[in-house]
Amino acid sequence: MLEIRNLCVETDGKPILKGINLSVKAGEVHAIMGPNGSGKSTLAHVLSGRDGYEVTAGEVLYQGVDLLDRAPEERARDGVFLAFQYPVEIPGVSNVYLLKAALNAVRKQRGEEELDAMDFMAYVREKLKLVEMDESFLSRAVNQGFSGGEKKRNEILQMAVLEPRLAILDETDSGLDIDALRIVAGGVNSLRTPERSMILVTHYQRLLDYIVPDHVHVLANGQIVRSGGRELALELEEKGYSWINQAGAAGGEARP
Amino acid sequence: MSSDATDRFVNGFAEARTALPGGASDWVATLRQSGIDRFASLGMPTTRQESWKYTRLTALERRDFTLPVADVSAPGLEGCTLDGAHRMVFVNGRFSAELSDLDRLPEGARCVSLAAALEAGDPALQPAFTASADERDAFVALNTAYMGDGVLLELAEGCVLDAPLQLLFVAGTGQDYVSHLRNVIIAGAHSQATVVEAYVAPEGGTYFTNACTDLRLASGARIDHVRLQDEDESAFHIGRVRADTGRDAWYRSQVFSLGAQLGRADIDVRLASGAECHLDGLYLAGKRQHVDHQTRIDHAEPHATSSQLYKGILDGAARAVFSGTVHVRKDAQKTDAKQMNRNLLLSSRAEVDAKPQLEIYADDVKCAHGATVGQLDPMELFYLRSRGLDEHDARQLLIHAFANDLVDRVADENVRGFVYRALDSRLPGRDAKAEANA
Repeated sequence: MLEIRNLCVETDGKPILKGINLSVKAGEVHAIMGPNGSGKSTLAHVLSGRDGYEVTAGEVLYQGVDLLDRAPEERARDGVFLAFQYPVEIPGVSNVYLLKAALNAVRKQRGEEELDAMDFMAYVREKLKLVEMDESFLSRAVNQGFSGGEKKRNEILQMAVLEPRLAILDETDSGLDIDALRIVAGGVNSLRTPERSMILVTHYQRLLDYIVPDHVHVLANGQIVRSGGRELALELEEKGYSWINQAGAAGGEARP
Repeated sequence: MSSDATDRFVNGFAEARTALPGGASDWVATLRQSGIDRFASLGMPTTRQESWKYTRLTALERRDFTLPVADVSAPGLEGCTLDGAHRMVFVNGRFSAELSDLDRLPEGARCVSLAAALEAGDPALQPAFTASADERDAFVALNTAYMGDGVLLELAEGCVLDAPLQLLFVAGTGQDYVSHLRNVIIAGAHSQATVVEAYVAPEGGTYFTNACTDLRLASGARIDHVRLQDEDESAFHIGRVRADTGRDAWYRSQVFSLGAQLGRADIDVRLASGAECHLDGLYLAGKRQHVDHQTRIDHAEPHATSSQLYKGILDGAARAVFSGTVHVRKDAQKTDAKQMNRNLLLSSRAEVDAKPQLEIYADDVKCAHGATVGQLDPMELFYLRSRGLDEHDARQLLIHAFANDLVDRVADENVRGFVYRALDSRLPGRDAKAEANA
């Protein structure tokens, strides 16, 4: 599904990612953990095609094809989805309008017919249930006036509607109270399928109590310094991130 | 101050007046004379005057405009008319009874062409035109001298207009003519109406519209006033609205300025005790178009409320001016006045001059103002693209969202749809998409 090879990325001339290697197979859930400033969010942004990053070395293959050359919308239509750490408020654009435009863009790419208003509403109502949102959210402007938890649920709603092949969840747990976290995690779990891959970028182990990953990687100073299974997250929970600096680059076994 | 254009209008008056409506009535003749005298002494505005600082009239002055000829063929009105509305249609500045529909007006509503009212020396009119000698606006003075047609709408006390009244001003064929339009709206106590002024040019052309609408709202009257200026890109449009409210009256103006080479739309409102006014405006300009909006709200008495939201979308090398003055007099305690002007620049060559002016002489008031000039937000664009919308569609969506905010505030559903359609065909970016698809 996704092959990241020796990915090096700079922003404003400063190296952020220094040779990331990661292989994600269909249906796998990978958690990428690390302290602040380790490059976690940069990795998520680069995969989704956000401006402001320069790839200085390496490559990213998505379904065997180079991903980095492609515009953000092309990636989205091909099934790459980024749930934003800070979902953007868009006054004047209703949630339902965006969902419909996005879904139809993706369906067109897949060679499917666009949904008409009735079919779309029936489709989206089902998806709303996954994140326990009521229909009033649809007519509101995208994320405007939403609470932190509502914004994150709205991201998962978009994911549910677009049915991506690869979902990257950037700090989707940050700022959530326990109830919101349960709802968000429940939504994500219901979207796990043998075909769909996910990358969870998170600072906290807490999320992984609810969404159990197949692999856990620790990112520090722009490199994956350790990879392991679920137990690695628990170890981090216990020891914190301070050991990383001592372990340094020597601890790096990058192969998941 | 004299210019060639001033001289042309002043010198042409003697000959033109005989053909202007109301020639038989002494007071009309006197009124027109006072208008031209006042215009002669004021002259065409220049950039040395504060309210014309950013708007040059050179392109307008260069042309020799004549009064429109009497017989013009009516262009097709498809798409210009408002469903379900009472309608008065003017072609090249002249009322066309044939194209109008006033059969369903309720009792208490009187709606006649201004030309007919002037011809008849209508007693309702005379009080609406006083104090021409003090007129400070040259275009209003010129309008008073030359006014050819328009509407006289009178609403009796308590009269409620069930459907909007559309005043449709259609530019017909012909070039270089000037229409001096004058609308007089007299709303009795607790009367209520929606009035939609629409200026359209289905066939294009270079012409000059000098339109002035005077409203007088008695106590408790409510007027919802939508003004759509959707003319040709080579047209000149100078629009004036003056509203004088009675106690507890409510006036809302929603201005949509979508076309014209040079467009100006001024609104002056005087608020009596407890009265309310809400002024919305949306202006679009591209290429080398120039739009200028100026509002002046006179909080003359206590407990009045005013709000203003003007938004502009500018592309190409367009230039926009917004100047909003809120004047709160010494006795106008408990005034609540808000003013906001937002501008979206889609090109580095577009320019905006935003000038909010608060003049507050009372001490117990709430007043707020602000102005912003910005571009499309890159994060919003990226967010939309990350959901599969291409860059062009994402930009269009954000531009629409910026504009729709104001259209959504139009209360009447039919009027809202009417404005949406006009706006949709004008928003920047459509051509680019069409070319890309070609």
